[in-house]
Amino acid sequence: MAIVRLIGYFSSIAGYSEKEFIIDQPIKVRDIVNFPNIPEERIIVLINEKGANLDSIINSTDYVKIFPVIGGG
Amino acid sequence: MTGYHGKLLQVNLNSNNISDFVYPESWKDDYIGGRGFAVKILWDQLPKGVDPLSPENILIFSIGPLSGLTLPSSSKMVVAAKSPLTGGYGDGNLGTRASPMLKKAGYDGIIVTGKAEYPVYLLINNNNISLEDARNLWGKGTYDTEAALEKLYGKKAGFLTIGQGGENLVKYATIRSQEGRSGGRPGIGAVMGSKNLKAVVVLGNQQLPIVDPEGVKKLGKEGYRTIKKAGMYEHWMAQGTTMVLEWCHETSTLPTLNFQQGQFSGFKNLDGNELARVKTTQFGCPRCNMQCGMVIKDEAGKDSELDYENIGMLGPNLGIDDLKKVGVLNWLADDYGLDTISLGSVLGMMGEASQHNILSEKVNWGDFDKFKELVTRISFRSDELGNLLAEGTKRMADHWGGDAINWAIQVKGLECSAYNSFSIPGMALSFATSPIGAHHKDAWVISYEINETNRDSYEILKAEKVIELQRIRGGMFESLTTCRFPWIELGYSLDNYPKFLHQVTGNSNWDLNQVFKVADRIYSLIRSFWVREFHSEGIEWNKNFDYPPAKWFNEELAGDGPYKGAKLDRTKYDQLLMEYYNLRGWNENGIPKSETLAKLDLVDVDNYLKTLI
Ligand code: SF4
Repeated sequence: MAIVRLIGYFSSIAGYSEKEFIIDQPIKVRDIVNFPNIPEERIIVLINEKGANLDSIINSTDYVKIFPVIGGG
Repeated sequence: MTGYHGKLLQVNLNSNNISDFVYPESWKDDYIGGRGFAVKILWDQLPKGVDPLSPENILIFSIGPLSGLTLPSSSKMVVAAKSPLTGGYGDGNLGTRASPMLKKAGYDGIIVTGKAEYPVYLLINNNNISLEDARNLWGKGTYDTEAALEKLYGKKAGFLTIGQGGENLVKYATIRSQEGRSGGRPGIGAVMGSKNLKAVVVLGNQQLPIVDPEGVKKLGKEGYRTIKKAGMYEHWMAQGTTMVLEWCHETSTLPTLNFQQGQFSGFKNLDGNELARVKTTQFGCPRCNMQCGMVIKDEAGKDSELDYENIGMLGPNLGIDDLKKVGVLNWLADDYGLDTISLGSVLGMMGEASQHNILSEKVNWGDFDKFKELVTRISFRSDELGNLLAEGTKRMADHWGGDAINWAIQVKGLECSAYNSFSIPGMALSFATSPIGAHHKDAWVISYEINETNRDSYEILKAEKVIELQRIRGGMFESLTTCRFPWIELGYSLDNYPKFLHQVTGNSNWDLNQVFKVADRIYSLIRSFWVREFHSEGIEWNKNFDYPPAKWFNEELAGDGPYKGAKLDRTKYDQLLMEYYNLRGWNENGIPKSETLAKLDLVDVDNYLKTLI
């Protein structure tokens, strides 16, 4: 079971803030999340707190966090 | 018509003399405006070693060539002086109708010196300038002051006011404007108070000095449209900067219990989703279609305008998890005219001192009533403790001694904004090298550190990124006096700004490289100002002034989360700082080298520095 946590407006776009996914075979991040109106360079992906990207592979016990890139005020 | 009026209004409150200061033509290309003009004036005109709260200090209101034009988020103004909080260069920006109004009144800025015999306000109505009696306004908060002035001059006038915090010389008092905006974190409001200047009112209706008004109109309109079409626009409009709170919690960078921890269990009661749910309206600065001031009804029934910084510093940092209570503290700070970041840090330090049992009077984490009482005691300096807390965290640490230095979350005397940097060395470097003391406005690198580098590394890329952002945010936006948010949050292209500059000034040489050279000049001049002023106190400038708060080295991040136990490494930080100096062309003490100053056409500054060191 992998957990995907969406931070900030990604949770309102997707309609959930945290969800469990059963991963039978390795799968790319982009195969389970999709934010069509947001440029990819404005998406941060962390897998188990380490930097990753939309093409990174999720394994069955991973904890994936997806953040918007912000400029920080 | 060159995009500028070529003059600033000069007001001497000792003599009531009002005149024009016609600045050299070269300033336009060399300093652009805003922060650039402010530091140039302070360097040239402020005698070395002046007490920041004495009549000799110079208070500057400075706008830039794009100020107030119909283009994205253009109505910022820089307020600057020698800071009473830090003893060095101090400035801040605020969005205000006074920015377009000053432009329409025919001035590129205002220079105030001296001290009025009794409280006055400055009234500018085109070239009719007068000093008016403000004795009936003295003692009022900023809301009532503005309301009284609005009755006299109408809603369209630009207002800049101080509250009781500025009057009572609280070292982190700000200047406020009618759109709910504040600026001048390093005590610029106290400088205004020290001059007995309660307010500035600006009205103007003259033509703007634009070389190509049609071009600006077209590009400006396109700009507003581009911003509205950005995919993130609706999310920004829903939450503004408050979306950052959950982000910081999730990245363990939320200031919690005076920066001891990076996550806050009650964050969901304070985050952007909660704010979007309870907000009653939203405000912002003139000429902006990204209105980011989120208004809630606070517990006292007041309309309190919130953003991330004030929620972060007055919520998690004090252990308060109720937005309506945070709203009360924020409203009071706005009314008294106090900087909410420094106030949150001062109150947080008081909380940590209580936790360590060093004081007879205590405040517990989350004790809203006690924190609220302290805000008023600080604003009026009404007793010994309130008086001490009005001095800021650095002086509190000096007073308490011992471990208290670890509880003062500040650099050069200015308190850090709401980003806890135990585990992000690049952001720590940004705070440490910010030209006014710790502030995020010049460079915010956390997204970059997390996304594009090894988060806890000290790689040179981080120093490069800090400088890149300081050039853009601290150099370009602060001298154009437009808001950085269209670019940083919604991706509005930077290339537009030299285009605007060209259209406004007629100078086709402007490109980003040219602008960044000005930014470097501004940074080196600001640094030289610090060196000069500290020298006047008998203090030789050295790298220790560019160190982040002691807590991030001496303690470990506490609480929950994956970064529990993280701390900064002094040796590695030192190397990163040396890389930063090297990239800037500054020596190992953080002082601009002769060849750097020569490249920036600051040979006279170099010659002066040589007489000191
Ligand atoms: S984005 Fe916010 S701070 Fe910037 S100009 Fe607009 S309202 Fe003001």
